[in-house]
Amino acid sequence: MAILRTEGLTKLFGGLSAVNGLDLLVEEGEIMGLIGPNGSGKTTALNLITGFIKPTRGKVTYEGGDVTGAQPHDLAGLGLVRTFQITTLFENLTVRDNILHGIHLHNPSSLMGALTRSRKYRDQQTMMGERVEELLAMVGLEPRIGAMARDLSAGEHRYLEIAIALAARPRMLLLDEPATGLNPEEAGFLMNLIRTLRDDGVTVLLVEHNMRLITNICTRITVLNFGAKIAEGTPEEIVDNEDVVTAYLGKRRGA
Amino acid sequence: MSVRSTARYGFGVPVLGVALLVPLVLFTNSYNRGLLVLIVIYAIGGLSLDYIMGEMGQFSFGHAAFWGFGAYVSAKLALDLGISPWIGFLAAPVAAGLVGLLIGYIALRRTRGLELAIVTLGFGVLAWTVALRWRSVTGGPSGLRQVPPPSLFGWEIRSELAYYYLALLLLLGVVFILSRMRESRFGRAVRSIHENEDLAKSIGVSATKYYVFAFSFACALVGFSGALYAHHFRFVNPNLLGLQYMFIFLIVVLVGGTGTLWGPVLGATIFVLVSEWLRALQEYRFLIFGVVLLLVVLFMPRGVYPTLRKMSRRMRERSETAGEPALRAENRGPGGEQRG
Amino acid sequence: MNWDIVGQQLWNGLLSGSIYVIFASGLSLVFGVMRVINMAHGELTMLGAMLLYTFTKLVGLGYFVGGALVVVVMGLTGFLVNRVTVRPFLGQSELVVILSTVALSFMLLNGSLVVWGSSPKGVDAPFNEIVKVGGVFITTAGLLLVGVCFAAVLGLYLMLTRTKLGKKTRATGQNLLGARLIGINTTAIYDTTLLIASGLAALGGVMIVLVSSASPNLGQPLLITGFAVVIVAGMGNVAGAVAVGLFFGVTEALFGQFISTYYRQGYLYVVMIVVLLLRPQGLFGRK
Repeated sequence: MAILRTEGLTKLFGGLSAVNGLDLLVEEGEIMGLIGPNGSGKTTALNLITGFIKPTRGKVTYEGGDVTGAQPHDLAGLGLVRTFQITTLFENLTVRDNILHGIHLHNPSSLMGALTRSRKYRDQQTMMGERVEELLAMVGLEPRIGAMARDLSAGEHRYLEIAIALAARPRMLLLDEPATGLNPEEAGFLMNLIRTLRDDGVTVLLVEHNMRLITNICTRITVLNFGAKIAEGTPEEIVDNEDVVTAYLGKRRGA
Repeated sequence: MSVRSTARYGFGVPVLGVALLVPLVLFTNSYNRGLLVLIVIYAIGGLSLDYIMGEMGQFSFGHAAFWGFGAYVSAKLALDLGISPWIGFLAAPVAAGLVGLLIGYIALRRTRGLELAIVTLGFGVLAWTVALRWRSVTGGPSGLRQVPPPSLFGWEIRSELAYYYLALLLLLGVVFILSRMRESRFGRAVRSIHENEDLAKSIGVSATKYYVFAFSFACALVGFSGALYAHHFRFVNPNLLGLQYMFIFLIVVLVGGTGTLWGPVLGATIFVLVSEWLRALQEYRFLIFGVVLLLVVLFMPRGVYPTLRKMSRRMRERSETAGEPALRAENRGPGGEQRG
Repeated sequence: MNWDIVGQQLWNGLLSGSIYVIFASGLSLVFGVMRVINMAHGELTMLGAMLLYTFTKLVGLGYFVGGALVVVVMGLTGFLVNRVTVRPFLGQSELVVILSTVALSFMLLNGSLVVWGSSPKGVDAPFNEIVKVGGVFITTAGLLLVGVCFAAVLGLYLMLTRTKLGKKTRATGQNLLGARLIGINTTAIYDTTLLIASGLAALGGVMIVLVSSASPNLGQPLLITGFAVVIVAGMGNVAGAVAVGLFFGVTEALFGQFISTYYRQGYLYVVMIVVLLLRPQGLFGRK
């Protein structure tokens, strides 16, 4: 069953199309890759799907409902959660507080509870504390719980960002170039993490530059160039596709 | 009380002692005690502006308009309808909060930062113009006089000392609520928008909704401070809505330090006392204020309170090796944070 | 309807509109290029007027010589304003810069009150004949005011669009980092931007005294009107500020004549709020 589908998704900036008639289909429970050269419209597509920018034309369907032009926070409420290309954290807060803020949607406490510090509120806080530890354990950041987010290494930044996204309990996670700035070892850890998420039932749309990562873990890949889809298929099909090689790999080889 | 709250209120406890004793020992005449009342009222106003500046990371140039509005609401209720100032103390924040909700909704849907500052300036000046012109309601430029003081069990709180203790109690309540709100779901949502609006949205925080309510809350709080002013000084006039008080709240917040609960309280104290000492200089006073303000911004951009705290921490670190948990999330080192 | 009165108010509106135009264009320039709200902009105009009074009445210079000197002095003051109250704070939050300009405005206003006192001071216009055009009375001093204001703003426009400095200035405003990367000395651009804006503000003050008197209190209301113009036009949009400034001057005069003198100032803010509701980025602003 398709969890996410875009039909004719188009975004014009001035007269130029950043995304042009994109039809994308993501099946529930898969890891879908979205690749393409720089400026091919990957991030714009992601912004359109998650409501950060409004499409000029086209339709986005999530879990069978039309969510075209919906607000990002409403989509997050529906379980559609994203990360950002440039690592985005609450830099001035601790790792722990980063996650606590990320729990927003699943924070049961009331204002009155917080003001009176009622027993119920304290229990809720304890539960949230456990949830924080659970999430940090998943991404291997437990020892860094008290550190300031801005003091983390590049790899830790990425893991924390993913943990924040997970705090919102996504059913579908859109990751925008999560492997950027990671060394091979860290990228390997990331791959395992994404697989674990998939096994836990989270659908993943992975926008990525790192071909190794993409071909290793994705079930299917869509390739964009100049805002339009030029190929779609399994990693093997994509690697052998002439158009893709010219548009993407060829360009890389020449660079 | 946990270790952490001792740390948070650490400065507060001795200060509270001083605050309770000072009118009995030092500020013994009624004029000087009036200054103490003013400190408390400005502190509440400053705290509310700091809610916008420190918690939301935004700025409202129309904040004094809500202060004056709150003062007018409570004064009008008492003067025209004979409603008790106690009800006024509730009605003023409710009214200011509702107007704040409306204006916040208009302004915060699209504007942030500098644009918001200018937009709220526009609203503030409009409110001031209306207060000045709508004579039948506001009394025009001369305002309204004979605003009654609140009374308790048939005894009117006219003495500065009693009013000061009342206001101080309310101030402590405000500080308490503000500190607890920080860890509430609402407080965290507001802070997350401040820290990173895109990230906050992506994890499901409705940025506009929370900012509008946070703005409204700050307006309610300053309206409350305005009502306290009206029933103590027993007059209201359009100047209360004007830029002069806006600047005063701004000085209170920035001299004290934004994002620190006690900063505005300290800022209000410094402002009222310094302007009193400078009174002898008459018109030179405001000139000197400008210079002082510039120097404070230049040398203590984070305000006096954080600077003092830093100094005291440094002194403590020198005297003992065992580190005490730092006071602010921002300054907390790795590992120093675990708590139940 | 008495068309003579309409005509007279159109003329009056053109006078105040011209002042709004020269004032708001400087305010908008500073915001557009530096992302700084200069809360002292009104006081710079006020200082222009007060200095002109000093130069002509107390020193004995002629209006034109005195006026030129005022603009030069205030232009240099603008440079100082940048160095003392803007530049040291640019790395910090935008609010800190607002605050430092608030402090400056506090100093200038109260310093002026100490130096000149609060009573309005008259300045002799170089010529002041009254000409009757149709049923409308027009003063030659007023004509000078309108002419100079528009010439100055046209000059600013040409500078921004036609000269190398102007292109660098606009580039700096659009993308500070990018401008630095392509080798623009953005510090110098900031210096000149405040120099020009301050000179324009002071020129506005020199013009105001042609139709009104100089007083230390003239800056604040002007600043507030200036903000209304800038918001309605779209923040940082200099050309828009010209159109809106003129429109505000004229419609405000007509509003005062035919609807209510009382709420004349409020009228501008109602327009501003309606614009904000319908088009928060301003009439000429881009999203």
